[in-house]
Amino acid sequence: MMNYTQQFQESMDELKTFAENLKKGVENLAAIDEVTLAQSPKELVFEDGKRKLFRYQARTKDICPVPTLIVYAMVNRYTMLDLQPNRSMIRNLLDQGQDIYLIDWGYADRMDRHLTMDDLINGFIDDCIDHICQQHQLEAINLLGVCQGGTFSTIYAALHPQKVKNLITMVAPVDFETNDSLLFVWGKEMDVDLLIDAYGIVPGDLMNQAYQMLQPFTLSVQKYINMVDIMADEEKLGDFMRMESWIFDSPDQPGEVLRQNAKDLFQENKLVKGEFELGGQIVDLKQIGMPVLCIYADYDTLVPPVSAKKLLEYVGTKDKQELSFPVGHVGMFVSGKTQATLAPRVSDWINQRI
Amino acid sequence: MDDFFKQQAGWLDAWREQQQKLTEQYARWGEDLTKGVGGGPQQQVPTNFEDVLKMQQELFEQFSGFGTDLQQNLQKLWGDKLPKELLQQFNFNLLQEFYKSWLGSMEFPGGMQNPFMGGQNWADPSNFLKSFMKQQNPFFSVFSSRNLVDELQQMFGFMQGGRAAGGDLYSQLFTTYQGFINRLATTGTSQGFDQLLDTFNSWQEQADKYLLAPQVGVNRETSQEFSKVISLSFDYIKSFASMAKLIEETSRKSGNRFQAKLVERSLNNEPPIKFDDFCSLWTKENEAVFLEVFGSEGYAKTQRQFTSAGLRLKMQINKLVEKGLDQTPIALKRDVDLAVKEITELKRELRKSRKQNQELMSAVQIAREAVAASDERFTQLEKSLETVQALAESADKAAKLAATRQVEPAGSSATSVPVKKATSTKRATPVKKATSTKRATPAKENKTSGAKKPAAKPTE
Repeated sequence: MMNYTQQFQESMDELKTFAENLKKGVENLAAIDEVTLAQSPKELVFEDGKRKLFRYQARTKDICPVPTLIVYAMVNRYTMLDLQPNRSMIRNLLDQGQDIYLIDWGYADRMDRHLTMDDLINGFIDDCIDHICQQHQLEAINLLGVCQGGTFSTIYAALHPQKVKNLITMVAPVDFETNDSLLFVWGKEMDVDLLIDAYGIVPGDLMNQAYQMLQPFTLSVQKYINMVDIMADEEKLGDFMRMESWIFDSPDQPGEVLRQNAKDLFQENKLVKGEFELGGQIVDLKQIGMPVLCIYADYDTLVPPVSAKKLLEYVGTKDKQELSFPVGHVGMFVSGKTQATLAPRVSDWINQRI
Repeated sequence: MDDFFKQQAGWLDAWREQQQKLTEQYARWGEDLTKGVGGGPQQQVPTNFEDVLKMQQELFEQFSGFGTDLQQNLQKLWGDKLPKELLQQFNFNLLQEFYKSWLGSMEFPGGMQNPFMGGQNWADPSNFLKSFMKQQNPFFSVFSSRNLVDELQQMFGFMQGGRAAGGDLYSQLFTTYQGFINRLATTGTSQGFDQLLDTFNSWQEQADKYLLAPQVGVNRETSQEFSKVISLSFDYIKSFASMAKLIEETSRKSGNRFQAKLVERSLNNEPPIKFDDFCSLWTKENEAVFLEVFGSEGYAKTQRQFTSAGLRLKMQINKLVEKGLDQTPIALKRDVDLAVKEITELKRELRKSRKQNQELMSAVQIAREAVAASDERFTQLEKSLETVQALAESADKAAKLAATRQVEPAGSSATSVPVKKATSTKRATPVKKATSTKRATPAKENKTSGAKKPAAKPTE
């Protein structure tokens, strides 16, 4: 057993380091002017109000002839895909010679109170794809959907298969039967109509608090205790602050979109049952005849793996493949190890099907 | 501000030296006392024991003060720069708790009870002395894991709307209620919540019975709406108490689990001496219990009741506020919503028209391309015909020449007739048609080419 003096010495050393880190950390924080994300050069090529389509600047000479449109979720910002130069899925895809377009949903406000999933999927996504097809004189392009954006992309591909060359879903929920995630459990019980009727536009902070409750102690306390350990390191502190900035950058949610998303998908699981309707059409996943790549995270607490990979059971194509990584939902985009292989594998998969 | 941190770091060093001396003192006592255990002569309690404990208490208070100062200054310096959520998490009380726990974890030899265990009165060491004399076995101190009120605010503060956009009447009202219930919760136990729930049920029954009864008079409708607010408020408080009860029970359960883990690790000679280890253990053990509860159907239902009660109250208050503003020239949310709805529908129509227009445009484009292609074909045909015509003319000439040379005397016209016939029929129709349609605009081209086709022949 350690004697008291030794024990005390170690604890006090640790406290001293803690205090020193804090002191240095505060100095470092003061030196950070502003936390900036999503710095890869891009050009605005199409817009409809606050919704925008960007094209990223190529980083290689040889470029894939069929561009890829990335559709991110509405519940957070696409900046996660381009957090910083050494943590950027977009940059990695560009380095692989992919021609990348991306949809930025913007920040919804009261003007989006009556916006529906039909407006977003049959409306804006379709407009973007038409625009890209026209620019490249193509009939179809690659579609890569992330999280909720993956669900949207799946629905789009089922409704407009002729415009999608290849479909890639990334940590995207499709089958909502499972209760492997607390969000799924709570979502099924929530009185969605009441929530939407009361708020109209649902505050992003409310969604954020729900995400924090998925790991209440880790995300609310432990994370900030750990932060002190890295505060003295300017670079690590910068990484932390960028992540922090992304986490709490949650746009408010258009009520009608959330209503349909929560009721038809989370509560009634209509998509895989073949009962989901959009713009007067039933969405039939069997219509997805193009090649499909389904990517999911093994330790995802937001979108359970089973919810994501079930997609492959329902699509009509025979060319389907799944790809998983031993990370969590966010780790998919920030883990250095995953990022080293994710983009090359996606890129290879696309190139083999062009 | 930077000076403050430098000063604090210096102070921490001085403080650390003092604490070091004290720890060494404890260790010496421990060794002395150990000699008295196991048959040796019973040692006397050191004469300056009380003074030393008081000194330790002072050091503890100084350290707590250090944490408080640090917290306040961080708030002053970063209050308007860092995200609120992040600042809220800089809770240096945890540091203080850790210190307390570290002191509590000191194992004194000879079965001597640790004087720093939780709940002990620092200023009165007599309990310690008594326990020492009784040779009781010490364990870790009881670590108070969380304050219930903080817990409630952390977990459910978001539901009150105050943290959402806008600080409206609804938020203020909810904050008031939350303050009220928090005061009750602070002193409450699990049994206390049961009693509170009974009380709230009774209040709501009374409110519904008397307030929601049909009313009379000019303002009866408004009065009825206000009554509904009161009734819904009780409903909200009731559901809040249910949720608070569940969280309080879970909190207690998780606290017990954490303490049990501390004891277990102590017995295995693996106490979490390091602050990082201590916090990790605290997080892991507490979170496991909470997540189990959060994943249960019971929790999901309680959460639904709680949020629904809050939302119903919010809607009723909104209704009242809008009613109050009805006669003012202020645009209400519902007016804005109606306008937005119309704009959204117009945008949809616009998009639909734009799409149709695009389809028409592409149809026109296809037609234009088809006309251009056929135009091109005509041009080619014209050229071919010109060639044929030239060939025919030269053949005609050649025939005439041959006829002249060969049969000067015969003078027969039999050979020239078929040649002429051939040229006239083959040449005429397409050439004329092509020239008449070639330069027209695409839309007219179709019409003119169709209309002029039969009229082309006679021109030859």
